[in-house]
Amino acid sequence: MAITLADVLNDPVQAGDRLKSSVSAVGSISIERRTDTFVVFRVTLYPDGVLARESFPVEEALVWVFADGRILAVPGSGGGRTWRHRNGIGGDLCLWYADDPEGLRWEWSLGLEEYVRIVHRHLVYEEIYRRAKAWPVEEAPHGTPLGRWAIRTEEMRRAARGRA
Amino acid sequence: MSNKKKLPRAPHTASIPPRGGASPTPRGMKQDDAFEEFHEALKLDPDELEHARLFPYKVRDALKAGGVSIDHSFLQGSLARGTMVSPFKDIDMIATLDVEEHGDLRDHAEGTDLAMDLAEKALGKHLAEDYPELTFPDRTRHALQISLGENLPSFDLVLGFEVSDDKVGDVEIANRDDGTWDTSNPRELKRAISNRNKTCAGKFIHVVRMVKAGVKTRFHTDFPGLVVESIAFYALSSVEDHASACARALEQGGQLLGGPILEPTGRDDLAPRIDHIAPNLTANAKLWFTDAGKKAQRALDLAAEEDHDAAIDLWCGIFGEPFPCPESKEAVASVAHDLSFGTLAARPTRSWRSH
Repeated sequence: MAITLADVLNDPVQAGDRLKSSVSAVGSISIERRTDTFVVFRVTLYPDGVLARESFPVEEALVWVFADGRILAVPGSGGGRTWRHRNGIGGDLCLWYADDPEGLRWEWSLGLEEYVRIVHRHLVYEEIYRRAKAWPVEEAPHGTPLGRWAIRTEEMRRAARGRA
Repeated sequence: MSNKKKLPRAPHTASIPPRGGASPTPRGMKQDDAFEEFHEALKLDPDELEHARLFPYKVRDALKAGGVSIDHSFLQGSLARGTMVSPFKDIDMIATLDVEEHGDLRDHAEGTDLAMDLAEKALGKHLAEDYPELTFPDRTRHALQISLGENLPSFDLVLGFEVSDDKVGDVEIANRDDGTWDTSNPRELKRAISNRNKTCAGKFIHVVRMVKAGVKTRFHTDFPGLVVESIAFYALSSVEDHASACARALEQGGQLLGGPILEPTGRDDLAPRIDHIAPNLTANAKLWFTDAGKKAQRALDLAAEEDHDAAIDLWCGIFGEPFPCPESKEAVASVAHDLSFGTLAARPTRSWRSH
C-alpha cells in the first residue's frame, strides 16, 4: 500500500522505514526537521548496477512534506554542482511540468515511495547531463508559454495517455 | 526509525530495472575474492622491482667511478615503503655525499646545482654503457631526473649529506630553489610505515596501494601519494580484511581533508602542498573521499547481506581497473531510458523550470 500524506504526518518514523524498504536506492533516511505543518526527510540514495560502476555519486535529497499536501525535494549534497532543472539558485528540483497531463505528473495517490523514485531518477539525470550535456528523455522547455508545452516524443505521449 | 535498524532491503530491480524485468544472474565472485584479485593485479613486476632495488648500488658505483665520493645510497619514497603503484616511474632515491670530500658544497651559494653537475657528469659517463639511452630530462627542486630509456623505470636522484654517522637518521637534501640543504627524514618515514605494516600483519601497504590506485584512476592522477598514505596511516591501526580497511581509509580521507594532514612521522603537514597541484584540489578531494567512503560502507553492508554483485559494482565505481569490474552489458543511456520507460520505472515526467 502506498505511503500516504496521512501516513507521513501521523508517523513519519514509520513512513521513513517503509520508504527505505520500498525503494532499493535508499540507503538511509532520517528526519531532518519536524513541525506541526511539515516534515523534512533526509534521504540518501545510492547508485547501483552500471551507474555504480560508472562512479555516479551518492546523492542526498531533502524531501519536504507539508501538511497541505505540497511536497518538494532539494539536493542535500554535492554543493557547487550545476543543475539543469532546479528552481532558482538553491531551489527545489523541478521534477515535472506543472501543466503536463496527469499521466506525466506525480500525485499523492501514487505514494511517497513513487515520489522518491522520481527524485532519484531526476538526480541521476542531472548527473548524466553534467557528463554528457544531454537530458536522457524529453524535457519540457523552460519558461511559461501561452498554453501548454506540446509533448514531442511518442514515448511521453503514450505515458501521458497512461500507456508507457 | 533508526539507521541502525536492520530492514529488509527492496530488490535492486525496483530502481534500476533490467530489460525484460528478469533478475540478473549473480556473477559469482565474492567481495573478498574481488579484493584478492585487485591485490594481485596491483603487485609490481618482479623484474622491474629487482632492477629498481639494485639501481642505487649502480648509481653509487658510477658516482664513485666518476670521482664523486658517496657515503650511502638508498631508495626512498613509495617504492622503498612498499606503497608504490604502477607505472614504474620517478622512483625516488638518495645518495649522500662524503662530507670530507664534498662538504664544501654545503657552504657554496650554488652548491646544490654543483652537486647535481658532478653527479650528472659521473653518471653520464659511467652508466652509459649499461644504459645507452640514458638522459637527464630535468632537475626539480630536490632531484636530478634520470631516464634510462623506453620501457625502463625512471629515477629521481636526490643528493644530500648524512646528519649523523649512524646512517639511520635524517639527511640534509639539496634544495635548488632556495640554494639550501634541508633536513629530511625518509628513513624515519619508512620505519613508521614498516612498523604499521607489521602491526597490520603485512596488509597495511596492500590497502594503501588499493586506495592510491583508486584515487589515481577515479579522482586525480597527480594527487599526492604520501597524502593517501598519511590518511591510511591515521585510519588504520589494524587490518582485518582489505575491504573494510579500504572503507575506513576512504571515510577518514573525507574527514581529514580540508584540515592539517600530518605525514606518519608527524613532522610535516602535507595539506598545503595539495592545492599547489591544481586549484580547489583539496575541496574536490574531500568530496571524492566522502562519496567513496559512503559507497564503501554501503558495499560492505551489501556484501554482508550476500549481495556481492552490488557490492562489487560500488567498488568498481570507487577503484576502476584493475579492480575486477564486470563487463557492462548495458550502457548508462539505456539504464537512464529504463528509469522512465522500463517495466518497473517510476511514472515518467518531463522536467522543467520556470526560467
